[in-house]
Amino acid sequence: MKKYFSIWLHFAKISLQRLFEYRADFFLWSLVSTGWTIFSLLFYQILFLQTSNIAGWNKQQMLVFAGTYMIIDAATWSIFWRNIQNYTESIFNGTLDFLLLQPIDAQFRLSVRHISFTNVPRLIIGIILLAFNLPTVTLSQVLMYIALIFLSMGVIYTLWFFTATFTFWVEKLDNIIEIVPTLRRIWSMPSDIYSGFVSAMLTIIIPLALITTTPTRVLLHQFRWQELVVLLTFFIILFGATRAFFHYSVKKYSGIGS
Amino acid sequence: MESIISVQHLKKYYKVYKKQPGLMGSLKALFARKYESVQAVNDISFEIEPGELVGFIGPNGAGKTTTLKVLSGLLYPTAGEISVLGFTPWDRKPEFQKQFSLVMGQKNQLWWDLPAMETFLLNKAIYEIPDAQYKHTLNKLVTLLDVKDVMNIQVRKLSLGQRMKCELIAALLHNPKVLFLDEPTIGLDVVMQKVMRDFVREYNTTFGATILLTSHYMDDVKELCKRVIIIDHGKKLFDGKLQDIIDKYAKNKILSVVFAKETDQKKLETIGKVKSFEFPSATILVPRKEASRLAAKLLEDFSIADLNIEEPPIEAIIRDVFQNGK
Repeated sequence: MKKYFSIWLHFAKISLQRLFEYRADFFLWSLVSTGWTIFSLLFYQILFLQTSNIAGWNKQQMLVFAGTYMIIDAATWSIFWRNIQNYTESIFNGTLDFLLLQPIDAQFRLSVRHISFTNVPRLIIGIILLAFNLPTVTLSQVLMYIALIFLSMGVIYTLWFFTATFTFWVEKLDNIIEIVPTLRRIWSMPSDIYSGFVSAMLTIIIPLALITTTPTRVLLHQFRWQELVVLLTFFIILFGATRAFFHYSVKKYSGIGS
Repeated sequence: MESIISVQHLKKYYKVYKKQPGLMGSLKALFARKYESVQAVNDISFEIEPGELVGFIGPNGAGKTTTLKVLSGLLYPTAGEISVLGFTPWDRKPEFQKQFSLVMGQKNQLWWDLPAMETFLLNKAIYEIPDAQYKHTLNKLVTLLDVKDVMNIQVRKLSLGQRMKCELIAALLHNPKVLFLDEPTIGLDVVMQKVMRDFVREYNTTFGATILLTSHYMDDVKELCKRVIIIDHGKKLFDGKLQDIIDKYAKNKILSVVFAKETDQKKLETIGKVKSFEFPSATILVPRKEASRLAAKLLEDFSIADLNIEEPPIEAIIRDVFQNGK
């Protein structure tokens, strides 16, 4: 555990060094991500000019929801996007070899190599949004909220790693890592907007709609423990399946050329 | 002595998909693909004892890298029994991985846009190298390879030679007992090749490491390895002392002559196959067993200023071995 933490810390330090090395890149992407964030906030403003609530969520609640979505999204994007990208690339170009030779869990090593900081402004905007719209909350609610954010990030990461692992099985599949970013639409809105079969599908069987909704409800005094159980169960099963799939795929992996 | 690497009847077959040329071929391949089995390694066996430095040679595609990959646990063999340091490589046990290293001249593990030092520190964490040992080994390697000045420069700004040295350090920080070197001198200039060779020899003797080395450059093997294993088309052709290759495969010897008086090439051909003739010197290939007799005849029949009986260069012998092996 200590070893893994120190390695993670080392990677984080290296990523920071890169950030200072490539400042222009950082500023440019920060600008782009801030631009998108402001655009999506404007969208909410326009929406609430037309209506006073969305599926039972009023404007203030929606802004807490939006803040939560931004925090989860900025964090998962920062920590995992580059890694997932490099993961699939390393399968094509054979650099995965070196990782497999080292006395360290390969999935861990693949998942923590790079941390990007270009989404930090978005993270900060998300937190500010929460601070301005939050009803009074207790410390235990805040802690619960943070724990649930981590669970949601875990679900997204696992889903991402799982889909990326299909790369082992095909000769070229560039779009596979775009699946999860596309799925984000599902959890960019409260789960209450879904009804009937779709709702059952997205809140029980594959509970992606709960990713933002469940943590947000804690802050809004609407926490439902059933949702936590569903999300946690889904995460554990998905994580187990992903590890098994990864190990099975590595066995099949034969390196590029001879 | 107990062997440190043991390979018994190793086989590794790949399934490769063959595409017919052109767009029609691509369209056909969309629906029905033809797979072909390629026998990269076909029934190879050998044993290596602790501390040996063995050269592993063969032409491109002979199966060298495939064998090294199986030995380091990257590839699962199709068949065969392999043990390295008492472990089955493809179990990928951390205790095993901490005791060996694979260096590939054509691939790099260093972080491209950071100084090599960062990779060293990362490997220290991954291999759990104690501080004191890390400092000691790093100092020793840095001095041996003379790279003190470049360790803190971004890897992408280093020359190929400097980068290769840093690659070696990154691979050796954990003091591996077994080292697989795949083309460590590829693309390097002659001076740097020599530096690398000296280092490999030094590392073999001072650290007592067992080294298996592949190279296209015969000089690497000639200078470093007492024992060589030659493979081609996935099969082992030879395993033994380098000198024995000459005894086993060299059919000819070379008579190089300097004549005292003008002579006729036609007359020379009664001695053996004239390889080159430009007065006053000539080289003549003669059957190995008759070399002394023919040399004597040469001295008798011609007016000779100087005569040498030479072994053909080892490159030529091995080239013959490969060409005849097909």
